[in-house]
Amino acid sequence: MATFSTNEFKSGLKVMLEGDPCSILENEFVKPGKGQAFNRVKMRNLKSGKVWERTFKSGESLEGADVMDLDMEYVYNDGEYWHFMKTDGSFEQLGADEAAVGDCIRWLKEQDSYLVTLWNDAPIAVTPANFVELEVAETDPGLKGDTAQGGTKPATLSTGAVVKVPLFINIGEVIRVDTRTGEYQNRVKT
Amino acid sequence: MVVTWRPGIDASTLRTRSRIYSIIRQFFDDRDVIEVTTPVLGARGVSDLHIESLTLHQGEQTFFLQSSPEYSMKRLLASGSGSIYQICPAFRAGEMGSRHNTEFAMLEWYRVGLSIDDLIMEVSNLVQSLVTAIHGKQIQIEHYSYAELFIGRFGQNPHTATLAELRQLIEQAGLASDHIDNIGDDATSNAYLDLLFSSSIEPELQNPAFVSDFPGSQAALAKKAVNESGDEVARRFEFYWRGVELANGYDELTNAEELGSRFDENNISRTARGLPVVASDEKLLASMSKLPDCAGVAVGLDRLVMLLCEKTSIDEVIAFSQQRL
Repeated sequence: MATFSTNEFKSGLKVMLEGDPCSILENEFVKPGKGQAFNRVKMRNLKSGKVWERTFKSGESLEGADVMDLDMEYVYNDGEYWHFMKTDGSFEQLGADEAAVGDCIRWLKEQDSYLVTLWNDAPIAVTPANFVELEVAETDPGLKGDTAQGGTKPATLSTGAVVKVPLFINIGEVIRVDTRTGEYQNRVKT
Repeated sequence: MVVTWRPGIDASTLRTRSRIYSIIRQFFDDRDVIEVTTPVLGARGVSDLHIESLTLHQGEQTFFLQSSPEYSMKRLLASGSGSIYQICPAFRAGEMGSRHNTEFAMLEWYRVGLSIDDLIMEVSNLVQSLVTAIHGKQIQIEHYSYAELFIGRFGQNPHTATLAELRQLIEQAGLASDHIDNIGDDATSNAYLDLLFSSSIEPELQNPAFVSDFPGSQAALAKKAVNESGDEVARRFEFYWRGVELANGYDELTNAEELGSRFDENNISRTARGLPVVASDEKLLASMSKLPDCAGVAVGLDRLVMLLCEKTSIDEVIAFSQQRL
């Protein structure tokens, strides 16, 4: 894999750091007064999801990481792996383990599209679309006048995700949720 | 990689930049400071630990593109030129970013017989003249000592802090410091001080502000002195605005022996870090005995234009930044 030096670090570049594939978020060149120049780099560890901030001597280099993001359809899970299918017509399937699926587990709906991050061809992360439409599996019937929680009540969706919804939402209804915030957006007319 | 033939600077900024140059020339004309031109091509590099000169090879000879006109201008001063100024290109290898370009414009001037405080006042007056001419207003300029800012921010005296104490401040501030080699020498503590100062203090210097009395180990070519608390300080100042370092000034060192030993120390630090040594400029050293007492300052002219024109990248104020060559 090619190596990249600090002056080639751009947002989105995938590099290896301490054995983990990382995606560069920000790269700032700093040169204090007559001091040593360095690059302050913010990067996301693609395996753990954590954001790291590191400094590098200007000109230092890192190995590139063989990372790809693929659009895939969620098919099913066998308890150990969550299986996704490529949408490029090949029907090829890949299995992501629990660690790779991570937080996305609460937004997985069969036949919906997800962004699967592959490192050396193996899934390491799954990202849902910004919005998903999911059915309400369980919720209390909201009683009028019940404003104890500011006009919302918790609802458990078909995926297991728990979201605060308005009192008028009932079991069986489909709602649109922002996966980035976990917030109810609107009811979807079926 | 930008492939366009177009300049990064727009027509309006081009005009304003030209106007800024006129104002600067008038400013020095009014004060009887003459404009000089010295060679950009030199026979010696700088031994400064963190500056890498661009080199040119012509047959057997190696030339260095200047990282500042300092050495040549000091030789002129030593020959009896009197106060002088210059607007010229300067080159620093590997420096590229929103405020850096390998080749950049420097406004540098030396005032014979003026104290460092007089020079600070003069820089202040120049900035005011420019702001008034371009924005029709006056600005309030602040003045702090390095220690005052450091103690205020970290509660520790920068002149007496140990390496361990500085490392602790870095950890407490949550700063990454992977780029610093802990060799345990002066250059290491300078690197820690720089990291703390540039990360936590500089960005706060939004209003135009002078910072003076730098740590003694960061004196470069400035005289050293002792401050009221008995700490060794460098007679050096910097000027900041909107968190950007705009100028670096000194009460110029005139002692050849001391300058020679500082150059030697630089090379020791270089060797300790696996960097090549740089031959000292023996003509500069020879001229020192005739160098009059003077204060000098170097202003990053591109950055000054950036601030006056309210631009956020150096690419927007110069004709062709490196990516556009």
